[in-house]
Amino acid sequence: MLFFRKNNLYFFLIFSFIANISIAFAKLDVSIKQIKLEKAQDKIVINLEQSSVLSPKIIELLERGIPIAFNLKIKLIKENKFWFDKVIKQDSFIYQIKYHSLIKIFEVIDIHGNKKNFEEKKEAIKFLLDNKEITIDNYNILKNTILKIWVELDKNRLPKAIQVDVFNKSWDIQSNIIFYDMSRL
Amino acid sequence: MKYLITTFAVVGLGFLILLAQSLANTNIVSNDTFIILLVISSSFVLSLFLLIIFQVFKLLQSVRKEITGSKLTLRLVIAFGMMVLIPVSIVYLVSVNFLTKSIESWFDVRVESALEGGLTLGQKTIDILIDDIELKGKSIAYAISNQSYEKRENILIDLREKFSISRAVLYKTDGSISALSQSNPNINSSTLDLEDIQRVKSGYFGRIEETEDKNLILKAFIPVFYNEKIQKTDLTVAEEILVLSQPVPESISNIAISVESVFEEYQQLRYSRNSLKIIYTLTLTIVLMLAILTSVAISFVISRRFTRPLSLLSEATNQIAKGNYKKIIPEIGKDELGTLVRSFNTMTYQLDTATKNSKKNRKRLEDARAFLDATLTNLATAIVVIDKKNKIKLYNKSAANLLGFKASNMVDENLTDAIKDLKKFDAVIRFIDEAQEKNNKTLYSTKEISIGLQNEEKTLILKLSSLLESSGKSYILVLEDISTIAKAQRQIAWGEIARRLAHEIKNPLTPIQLSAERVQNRIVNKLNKTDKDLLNKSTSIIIKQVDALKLMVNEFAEYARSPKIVRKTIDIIELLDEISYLYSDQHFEIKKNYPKNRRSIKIDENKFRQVLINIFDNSKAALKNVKNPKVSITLKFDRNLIRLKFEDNGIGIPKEIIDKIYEPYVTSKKAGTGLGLAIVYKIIEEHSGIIEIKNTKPSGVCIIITLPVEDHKIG
Repeated sequence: MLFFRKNNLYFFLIFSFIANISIAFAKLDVSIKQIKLEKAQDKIVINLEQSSVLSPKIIELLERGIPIAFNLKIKLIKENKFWFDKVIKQDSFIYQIKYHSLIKIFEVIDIHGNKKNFEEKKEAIKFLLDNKEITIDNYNILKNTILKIWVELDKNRLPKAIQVDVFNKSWDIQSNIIFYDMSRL
Repeated sequence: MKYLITTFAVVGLGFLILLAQSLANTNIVSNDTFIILLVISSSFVLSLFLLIIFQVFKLLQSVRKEITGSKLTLRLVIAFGMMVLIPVSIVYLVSVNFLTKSIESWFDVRVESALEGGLTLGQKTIDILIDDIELKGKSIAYAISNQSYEKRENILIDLREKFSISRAVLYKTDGSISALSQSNPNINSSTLDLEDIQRVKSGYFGRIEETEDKNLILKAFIPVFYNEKIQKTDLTVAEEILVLSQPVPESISNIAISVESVFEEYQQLRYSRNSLKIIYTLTLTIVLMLAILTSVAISFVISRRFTRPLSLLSEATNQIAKGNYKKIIPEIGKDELGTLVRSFNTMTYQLDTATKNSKKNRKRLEDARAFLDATLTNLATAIVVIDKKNKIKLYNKSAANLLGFKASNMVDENLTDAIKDLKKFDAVIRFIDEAQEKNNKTLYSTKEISIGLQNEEKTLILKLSSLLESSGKSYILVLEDISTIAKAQRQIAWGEIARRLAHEIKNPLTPIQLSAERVQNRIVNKLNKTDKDLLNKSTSIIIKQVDALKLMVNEFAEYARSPKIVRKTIDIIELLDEISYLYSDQHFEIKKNYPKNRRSIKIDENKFRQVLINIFDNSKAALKNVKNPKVSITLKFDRNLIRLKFEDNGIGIPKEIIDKIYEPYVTSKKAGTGLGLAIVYKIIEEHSGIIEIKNTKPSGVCIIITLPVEDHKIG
């Protein structure tokens, strides 16, 4: 799977890793701006920041009262040269924004399930895409793995017809995928 | 096939139901499941399509091979297919059109405006309510700020009740509650959020909140600035925050939430419009394909069900035409086709029974004919059936052999043309002509004739009887060879003659011989020399002739003697060697040809010795004055027969007597009695054997003796 991985972007830092990739993925509907990895004892803390803007298409959807949910996914992969890579651990975190048109409030639910209301759209989006902190336990058993992290639009929370319209790919929104070699941390 | 189609249809229908369910806004079918269902349904349609293509291909092949019923099946399939295809296609087109238009009609501008208007109305109402609560809040805040700090709670209670506010709380700037008044005492109080405290510092504000149980609550946040001049004591706080809470009236709240909900759903639908059209059209297309293909597949089954009995009938008719009456069609249903099949089976059964009977009768006739043919063929009596023009209609092997037919098949040939040597059978033809001339209705003529055939004279009894047939009058000519019977009769007659001769002649011979000897003894001394010599000579002649007569009489007696053989087991080769040894010093050479394995046989040794001596004597006589005289003896064992062949190169037997050589007194020798071969013949006959004597070329005689023996190997 090395071949596939080589076609994606890598970010390597020994202890602390920060990268700005917003320029490279400016054209994406949703993109990961930067991630920061910190090792604390046997834990890894991932701090992810998305691009602070959402595409007009998503904004339009949001303003019409359709909830927009994102799925932050992480996978820790054990690489195999001649066979499929083995997924050691995987997790997903959902966060969403919804506009209540009657009361003119933007409701944001973060990855931990905390709900917060905003009267201003900009503030709501900022809060939505702001830093997200994820903790991975048991670093010791995961240190020889590759971290794969990306964000995608959760189609399952969109209207049913959009979900089942297999011919319409415009809603298959996914961010850039970040790979990181955990052994270098 | 029908089970396969039913399974396809049922499973396909199940998937279609699931597919339709997936379009509803439920969680029964997920996005991924929908795609799987879509793929499975499409696969089903494709499989069904391939199945039908296969069936059509098979059907067309059957039509090309002109298999019975295939054309009718094809016509029915086309008819059924068209019956389904046209209405279903119309329904499909109408449905798609209707669906598209229906979906479009949901998104009417007026509907959208109305919904937006409703939502705006709700928003405005809420805004008014917020303005109202803010105003009330300002009034309460003003009242509190212009009264002494101690009275703030009483004022709060009074004014809350006066303004019918659900809850009024006075918070300190650190967020803790300073004073509280609420209509429902069960509501727990909480501190004020820091964000709200910061915000209110820049001025009052109002907002609406949605509770967990979906109720709307209006809230107003108003800063309270205490007038220090009015205060009786020094204030530690110069400012507090008044928060009023008032639930939106239920009637307004429900309508507003409902409008919001409908508006959101409408927006969702608006975004799903194209997807909905595509998905519904796709589902309808799959339904259409499944319906059409299932119908076509079912039409195959129905067509085959209709045409099967007809095909079976047609096939059975062909089989009957080919003579196979055992074809029974399985009964199908109780309708008219079932009755037809039953009637056909009954007819076939009757035909089969009639054919079997006919075959039996024919076989019986053929057997009888074969039996008659075999009987006629193996019959020793010659039989020829002729018509009134002497044309042969039927004859047997014996007739062909006896009459010497020119070819193997002489049926339909004239009898005179069929006989090779017509001259010899002139007497037969004459007999037939004479008999036919009588022209009696029930003709029956018989005659005994003798004809010479193959150096042998044959005695035949001719019988001609007429036979009336549908085709005309026929005659049956029977030629019975009675030569053997005649020969036997002659043998018996000769035996009787010999016996009488022996009896009548032998008795006076001894007195004649004794008298002659007495005359010679008594008178010879009384006569002179001349008379004496004459007497001696005369009596000697009498005595010699009497001896000769005695010898002849003894031989006749021997011939006439009744047959009595005494069998004993002997080695035939030993006997042959013994007799040939007796003649080994004669003027002829003896050649022996014996088989390697010796066998003993059961015969009368003495009589067989007599046979061999007679044969050797005859050869000895025949080989006088012959160049390189020789006798060859050949012995062969053949199963239960021995064949003994004597061949010499002597003068042979004259033609005139060869037919009667076994009869007594038939001889070519001057001094022979003619009884030798007659006795040989008799002895061989007594041993149930056959003797055959014939002349050989260029000269000589061949005698073949065949004897049935019970024998066993020697050594």
